[in-house]
Amino acid sequence: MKYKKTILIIDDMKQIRDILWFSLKKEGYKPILAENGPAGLKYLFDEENEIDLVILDVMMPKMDGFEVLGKLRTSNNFASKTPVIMLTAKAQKDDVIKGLNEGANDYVLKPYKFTELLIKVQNLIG
Amino acid sequence: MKTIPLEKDQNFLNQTILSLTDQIDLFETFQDLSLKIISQFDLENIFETFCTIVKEVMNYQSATIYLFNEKDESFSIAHHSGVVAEFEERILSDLKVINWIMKQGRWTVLTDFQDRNAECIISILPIKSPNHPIGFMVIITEFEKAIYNQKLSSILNFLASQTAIAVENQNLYAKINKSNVYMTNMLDSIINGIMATNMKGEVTLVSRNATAILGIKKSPVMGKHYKQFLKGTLKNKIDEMFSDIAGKGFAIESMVNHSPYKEVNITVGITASLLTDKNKNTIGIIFIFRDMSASKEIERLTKLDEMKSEFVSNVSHELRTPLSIIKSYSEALLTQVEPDDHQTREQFLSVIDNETDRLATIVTNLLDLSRIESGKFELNYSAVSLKDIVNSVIAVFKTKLVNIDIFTDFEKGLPLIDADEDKIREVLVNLIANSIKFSPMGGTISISIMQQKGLVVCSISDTGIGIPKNEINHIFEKFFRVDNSDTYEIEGTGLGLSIVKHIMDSHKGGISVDSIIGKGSVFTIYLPINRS
Repeated sequence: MKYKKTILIIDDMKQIRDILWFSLKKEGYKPILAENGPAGLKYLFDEENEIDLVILDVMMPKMDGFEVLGKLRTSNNFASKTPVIMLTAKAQKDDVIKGLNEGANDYVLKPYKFTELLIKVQNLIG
Repeated sequence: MKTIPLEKDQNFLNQTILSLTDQIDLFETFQDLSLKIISQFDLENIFETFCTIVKEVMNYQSATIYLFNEKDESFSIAHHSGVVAEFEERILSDLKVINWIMKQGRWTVLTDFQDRNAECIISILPIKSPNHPIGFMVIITEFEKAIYNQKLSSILNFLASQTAIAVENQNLYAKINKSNVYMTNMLDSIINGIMATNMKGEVTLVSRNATAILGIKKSPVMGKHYKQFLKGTLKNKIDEMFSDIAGKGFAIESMVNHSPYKEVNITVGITASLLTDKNKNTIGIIFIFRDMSASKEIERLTKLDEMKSEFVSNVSHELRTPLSIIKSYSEALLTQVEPDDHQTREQFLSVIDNETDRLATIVTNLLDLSRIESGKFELNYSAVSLKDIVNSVIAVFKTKLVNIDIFTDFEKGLPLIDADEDKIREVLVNLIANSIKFSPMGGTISISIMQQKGLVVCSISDTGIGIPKNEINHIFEKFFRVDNSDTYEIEGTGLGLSIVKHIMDSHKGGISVDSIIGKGSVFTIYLPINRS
């Protein structure tokens, strides 16, 4: 049986999580959902879980995407180098640069086109 | 040793006494002249007096005073008395002579320039202060009238030195005056009011803005005790601060409500600090007055500005979120959902439907806002049943709600009201949507309608998170959003309630709110039955 790559989706909007889960599953990935940053990090840092890629929303309450990314990249955890695609509704160039500087591997602007997101996912983890 | 005979000796004494008396007379004359010149403060008067005295002393034909220009070596005419002689220019063209006389520093007759034809004697009297040359006087005397002796020379030199002192004083006086004017302008330009007193409490300085804030007139208060012109709360506060600062020794701040003019009430912030001289002795107290109502206004405008830019970022986020959802669900429907998977199709379509409604509400609110801002907000009146509108709005929400119950309690025999149906629907959609939005853990919403003294009253109460007391007065302001970031992140543009309020006001109705944090909120709208 072919090994399914695992993708963690961290987004506070249920509708977005649901549709990403549906679409990524359709493309043969194994999506995992987290509704906020702390929950996502907890899942990532757990040795029992092996995440191949993170899709991370920027605008989230309590802990925003940049903070989640920072905590991940500066941790000593085995998962600290997991590829991250930022999902941001902020079209501002500064935010994109900030994300890439802090170690994001790629970004997609909301409203996103799933096929575009898919290409970026495939580029990073095949 | 040769002895002088007594007789001769007496003669000698007599002569000495005479000469001494003469000298005393001369000193008295000097004193008199000196006073005359020094007591003048205006440059023109000084020169006038100088010339008059010189005229008395030596009866000249003409006298001209030249002053050196400060920066270069040139000089220019400052005062003239008598007939101008043509050859003056010729004299003055020789700067070397002038410089030499200035250096000598005493009255000098120019033998080289004696004009035999005119039978004149030309002399130059330098005007020089101990520090630097100021100018000189060119004196022309008729040959026959000239009497030259040592006494005349001392008088002239003395007069010139007194004039120099007077001119120096005048310059200093002008400088002080100029810096005084500068200081006053500076004080008056400071937006805060400044008043200084000595330790007794007598005013030594007061700026224009201080007089405006205190409601007093400037000139009569200088030198007066502040108790003589300050009254009421303001006087009491200054009394309090006056004794307080003398004891404490460091700057103190306070605030007082006061009425500078009839029907004007302002809040004044006062800072008092000690005024010390260079030896650190306390010589007085400085009071600084700030009109707090003015700074409140600036604070309010700054806040509004911040709210506006936050609004722009909120709106763009609010618009993008439903768009993202619609976009991704429709993309999935088109490319991924199997044609015969009817359940998923229906589920996705209903998400799209909900998000479209959300988008429509935001767009309606934005359009309303722009109509309100441009003054084009108009109502289309008709006979409307509030009960019917409430029921239809509830029906729409009920299809989407899972964990919230909505109860209604309508009084029987409710009248139709004169109102704009679409706008009233918008009010109810906004209020009910808020009740749902701010009840993130589920709960109950109760809606009641009753009739009361020509009004129809509708209350919408929820069991949601409630509104903090300090924010409840602002919720109807444009762009305002309750800061709930540390409890729940609830999104919104901050427009809904301000538009609701506008709609209610334009119906000549009203809206009120009551809320307990953690328990819930009640919004009540009042609509007049008849438009009158």
